[in-house]
Amino acid sequence: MEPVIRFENVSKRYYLGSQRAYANYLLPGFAQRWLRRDGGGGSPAKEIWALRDVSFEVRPGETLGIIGPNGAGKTTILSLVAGITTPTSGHIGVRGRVGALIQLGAGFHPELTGRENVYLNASILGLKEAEVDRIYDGIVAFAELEKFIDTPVKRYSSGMYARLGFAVAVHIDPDILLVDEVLSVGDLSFRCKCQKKMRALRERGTTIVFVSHNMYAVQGICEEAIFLLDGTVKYKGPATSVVQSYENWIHEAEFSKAGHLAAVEESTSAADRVVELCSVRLVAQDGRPTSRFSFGEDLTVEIELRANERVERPLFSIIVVRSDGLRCCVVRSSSLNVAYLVDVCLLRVTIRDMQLNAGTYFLEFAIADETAAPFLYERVSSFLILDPPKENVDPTWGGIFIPAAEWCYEPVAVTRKSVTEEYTRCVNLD
Amino acid sequence: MTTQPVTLQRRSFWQNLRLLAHYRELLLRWTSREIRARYRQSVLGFGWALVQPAFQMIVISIVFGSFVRVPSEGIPYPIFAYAALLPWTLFASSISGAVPSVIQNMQLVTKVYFPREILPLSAILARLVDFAIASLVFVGLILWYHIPIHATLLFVPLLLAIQMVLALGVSLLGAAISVFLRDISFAIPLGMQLWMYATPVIYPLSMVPERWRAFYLLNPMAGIIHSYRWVVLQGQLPDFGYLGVATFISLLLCAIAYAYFKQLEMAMADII
Repeated sequence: MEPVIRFENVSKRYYLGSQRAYANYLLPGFAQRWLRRDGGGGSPAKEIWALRDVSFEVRPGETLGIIGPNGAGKTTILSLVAGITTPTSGHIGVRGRVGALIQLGAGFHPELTGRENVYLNASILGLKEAEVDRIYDGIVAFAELEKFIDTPVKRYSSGMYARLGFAVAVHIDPDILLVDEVLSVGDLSFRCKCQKKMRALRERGTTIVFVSHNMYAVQGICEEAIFLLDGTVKYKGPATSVVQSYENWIHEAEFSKAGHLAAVEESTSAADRVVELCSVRLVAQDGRPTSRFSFGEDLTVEIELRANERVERPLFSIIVVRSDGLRCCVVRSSSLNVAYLVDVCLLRVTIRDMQLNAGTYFLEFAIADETAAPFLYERVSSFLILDPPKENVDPTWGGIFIPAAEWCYEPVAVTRKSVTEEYTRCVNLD
Repeated sequence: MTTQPVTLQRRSFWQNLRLLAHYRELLLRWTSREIRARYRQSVLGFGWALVQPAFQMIVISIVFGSFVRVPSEGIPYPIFAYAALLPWTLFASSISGAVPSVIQNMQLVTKVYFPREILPLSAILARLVDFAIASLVFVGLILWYHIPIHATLLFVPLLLAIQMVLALGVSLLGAAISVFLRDISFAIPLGMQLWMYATPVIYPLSMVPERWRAFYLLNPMAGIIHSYRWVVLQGQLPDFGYLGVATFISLLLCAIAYAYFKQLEMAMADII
C-alpha cells in the first residue's frame, strides 16, 4: 500500500533567536548578501539542525513510535507532518486528515471557552459546523469536562487542557493521529483511557505517530519505532528492538555519567559530607562485576563508604527505579544491626531472584540515621535486565515484574440447567 | 484516504486566494469571535464604539473648530470633522488591531495550520461593527444640523472598500514583519498618528498648498477621506483622479503585502 506519511532526506534548520537571524527570513537573498558585504563584521546567525537527512515511511494503519532524548527532533517531525512548518531540504508527503497534539496543545486559544475552542479547532481542521455538532457531546464526555466546558481554557489545568486536546484530535475521525507526550499529564485513569482509545483507533485502521519519552508506552501502542538522536535516525525497526536499543543507549550514557567511577569522583570532591560514597559495584551471581543481568538472577550491590562523622544506627536503602522514573522496589536494611558507622566500610546487599521485566533500571542509594531523615540520597548506578525467559511471553506486554506463577486448569461438571436455576433463584431473591 | 491535508507550502497567488475561500467558515467564525471578545468584560460593551469617536469629535470641534477656527467649507465643523473621523477611526483601529493579530495567536500558529491571513483579515472585518455603531452618531448629527441627504451617498460602499483594501495591505505587512521584529508593535501607534496629520481629517484638503497637492495625494487616505466629505456632505461626485490614484496604490500595496505575507508565513512557526 502507498505510504500515508513519507519523509525523504528531510532536514530542518532553525535559527537561534537574534536580530541577525531574522534578516534570513525578512529579506530576500540578494539583500542579505548585500547586507553581509556592506555590514561586514558580526558572526552569521546561529543555526541548529533539528533534523538531518531523515527518511522513513508510514503505511496506512501503521503505528509508529518516535523515541529519543530531549532535543532529538521528535516534535519537529510532528510539526512537519502536521504541516505547520516546512523542511529546509528534502521532501515530505502526507495523505489524509491529520489530528495533531503537538506538545499537548491541539491549537487552543486561551481566551476562548472549551466549547468555543472545540468548534474553532474542528473548523480549522476542516469540519463543517453540523459535523462538529454531531461529535461535540462525545468530545466533552470523553474529556470529562462537562462542568468546565464554558470556562476559558486559560483557567484549565494542564491535565484538563490535554484531555480536551486529545478528545478533539481523536473525535474528528483522523486518518493520521499525531500524539505528543499526552500520556505524561493527566491522571492514571485518563492515561489508560487514552491508551485504550489509541488502540481502538489502531484497530480501525488509523495511522498513529506517537512521540514519548516513555518508551514503555511506545512499546505498548506501537508496532514500529524510530530512535532519534541529534536529529538523525539512529535506529528504525520493530518497536521492541528499537526500545531495546534506546535502553542500551540510555544505559551507556547514564553509566558513563553517573556510573560507579563518576560517583567516586563526585563524592571525593565533597569531603565535608557526613558520609561519602567511595565506590559502587554491581556483581552477578558468579562474582563478576557487570551491569547486565538475566531475568531471575541474584543482583549484588557492593558499596564502599567513608563516614566523616559518627552516624548512629544507620539505615540503608537501595531503591530500584525504572528508566521512566517509576519506583519499582525499595530494599531496606532494617534487619541489619549496625550500632554506628566506622571510618571506611563495605556494604554488600544481595537482591535475590530479580524478577523485574526486561529494561533499564537505575539504582539509588540512601542512608538515614535514627532521625529517619535520609542525609544521603544518590543515584549510584544503573543496570539492564535482559529478556525474561521465553516461557514468560514477550516483555512488551508490560508489567513491572514477572513473578513465578503456577496455573491450574480442571474442568468441573456443572450442567447448564443448574446454572440457570441458580441464576433465577438469585434474581427472585432480589 | 483521498483527502489531501492542508499544510504549509509554497503556493501561487491564486492558489492562496482559493485556499482562503475554502476557509471562509473559519474566517466568519474567527471574525464573530473577535467581535464578541472585544467588549467582553466591559460594562459599556458596544457603547464604547459610540463613545470613543463621539468624544474625539467633541474635543476636536472645540479645539480646531472654536479655538483655531479651521475653515470647514461652509459646513458646521463638528459634522465636517466627524465625516472624516468616522472612516479614519475605522482605518486606524483596523490596522492597530490587525498588526498584532498573528503574534497574539501564536499558540494557534505553532500548533495547527490554516491560512494565517485569516487572523489580520478577521480583525479588520470585526472593526466594521464598530464603524456601523459609530455611524449612529453621524446620523444624529445629520438630523441635528439639517444636512440634506444626497444620492451620492451611494459612493460610500466603494470608498469603504478601497480603504479596507489599503488597511489590509498595511496590516498584512505589519502583522508578518512583527512576528520577526517586535519593533513594529511600538511603531504602529506613532505611525498612525503621523498618518492622520498627513490626511485631511481635522482640516480640509483645500488648505493644503497647491504645489504640494500632487505629492500629498500619494497618500491614498487623503483622496479617500476627501471623497467621503465630498459625497456625503457636499453631494458631489468624487474626484475620480484622486480616487483612481488611491485605488491603484491600495490594490498594488495589498497585492505586494499579501505575497510578502505568504512568503514570511513559511517561517512564522519557526520563531520561538
